[in-house]
Amino acid sequence: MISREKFISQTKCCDHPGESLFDIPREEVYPEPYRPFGKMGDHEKLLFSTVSLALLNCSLPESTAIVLVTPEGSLRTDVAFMNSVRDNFPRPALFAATLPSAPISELSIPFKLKGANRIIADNNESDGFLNALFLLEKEETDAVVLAYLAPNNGEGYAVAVIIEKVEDGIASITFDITDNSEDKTDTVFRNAVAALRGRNNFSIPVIKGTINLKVNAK
Amino acid sequence: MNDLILRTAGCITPLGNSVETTDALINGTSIVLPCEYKGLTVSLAQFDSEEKRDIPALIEYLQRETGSLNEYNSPDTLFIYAVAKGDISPVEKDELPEESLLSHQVDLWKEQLGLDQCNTLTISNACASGIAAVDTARDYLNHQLYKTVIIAGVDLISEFTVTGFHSLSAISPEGAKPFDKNRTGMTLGEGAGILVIEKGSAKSGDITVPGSATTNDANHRTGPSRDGAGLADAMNRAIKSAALIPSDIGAVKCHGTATPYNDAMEAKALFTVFGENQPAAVSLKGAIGHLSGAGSIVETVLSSQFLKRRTIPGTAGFEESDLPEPIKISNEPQEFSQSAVVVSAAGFGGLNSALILREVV
Repeated sequence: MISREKFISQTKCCDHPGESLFDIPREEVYPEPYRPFGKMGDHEKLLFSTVSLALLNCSLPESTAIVLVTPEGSLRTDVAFMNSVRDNFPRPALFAATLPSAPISELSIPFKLKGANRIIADNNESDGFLNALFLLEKEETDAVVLAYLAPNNGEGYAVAVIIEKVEDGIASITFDITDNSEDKTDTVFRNAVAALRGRNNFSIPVIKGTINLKVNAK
Repeated sequence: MNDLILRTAGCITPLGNSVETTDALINGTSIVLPCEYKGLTVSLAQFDSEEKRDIPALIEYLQRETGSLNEYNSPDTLFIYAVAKGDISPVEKDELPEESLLSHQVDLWKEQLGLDQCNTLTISNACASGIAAVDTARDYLNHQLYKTVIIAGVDLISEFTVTGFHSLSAISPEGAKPFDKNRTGMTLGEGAGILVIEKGSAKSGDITVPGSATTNDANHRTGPSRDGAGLADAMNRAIKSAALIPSDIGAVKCHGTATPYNDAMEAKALFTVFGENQPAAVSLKGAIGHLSGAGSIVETVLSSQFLKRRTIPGTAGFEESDLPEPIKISNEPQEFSQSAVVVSAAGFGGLNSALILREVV
């Protein structure tokens, strides 16, 4: 039974239009000095910052799983690495980041998250949510970090949702999947993303609710 | 009706389709060769012609083995594209980068396979993508969201990947020697594979996928953990989810990249899971190379053949162990009697994965 959710957006994305999206001071998102922060690429920095904010005052168990939805994948890093090949100076650090899954280690290492990982490299954010719930149903998973990463040429954003399992869970998100229409799965994550897209100045909204998973067989 | 049945499985490697590749592996054939590639001294396991790197041609070849998938073309089927880089040629050619988006590649596959009515999902867990896709498919099927899940993946040798792994000093100039004390690095390979999984009542002779799991080392961006705990955890979870115990496992298809840290990590993981009662273990990468994201699909297809024959091949390139634990790496074909095998894979980002294949007897 899943009984609590938090929707937390990354505050710095649109606070100062015109400033670099990825110019995020570490101390504003992560309390401890963290050397790799300065070396992170755009994707990783945005995702790390978002999840750091989501995890403020929140301690997760090692078994926490990560589901990352990343429609663009590593495309811009791919192009940057290929340019370095054309310049006859292929950069190994860039190559290591030419995978949609590359940002995962920027979450798993600092936050010590050793659970399951699913990286969805397309625009199926609702499937991201569904996969988070699949994982939470498993005995070994007590929490999931669900992240949506959309760098979108420097105008983008990231969203992180922390979903935890608690023993006295009581209510539900209902998935209407009795047909195969596009919105057959959930609308919650899709609506959250849509709402965040339309806002110019993010606060850190924390929506606590009680949810429960209902999956209808066809 | 609670079994997840591997209805169809097919692959293409430089050694041929799944049956031809299995025969060649058991006969000790390797396609790994030292060569010069764009001025770099490397080892590769390549197709013998450029035409075979054409995605439509590859898919057509795959369908010669799997048969037409038209019967699955319905909204009751989910098509999962499991991939690390797939076809990176549009980026290499400086074409519209959008052409390289994995979501663009999945559309090409869907169209070519005649699966236009299916929903799609792209899973990209680095070199563990194939098993992560199977793990995901099992959830969709167990929740009865779909009747069938088709998983496909491809990875091709390219200037992008060869230059990249060479820049990391990861490629052997002579050929991968997994688990061997004289290893000198990995060998890149290429190929593609397809798995069709359905929920139903398995009958004798069917191969099922009763367990799977993924974990993260939380240790290093590109290197594996030093203690193997993450991979051991994935294997233990997969075995447990299949309602089996370690002694039910007849063989392990290892990730086996032939890098020192990977080989040592896997030895520790295997010892953690199986202790003194080690099953025979094999790496295929000394024979067909490392197929990146498609690797664990192709190796799952081949492992289903090994399971049918109750035989794993020898590990090409392996002669003398320097491993920290006494595991049983095969240096010649090994028979086993149990009806289940473990297929494992790991990837950049500390990603670990394992699945169980079981034949119903």
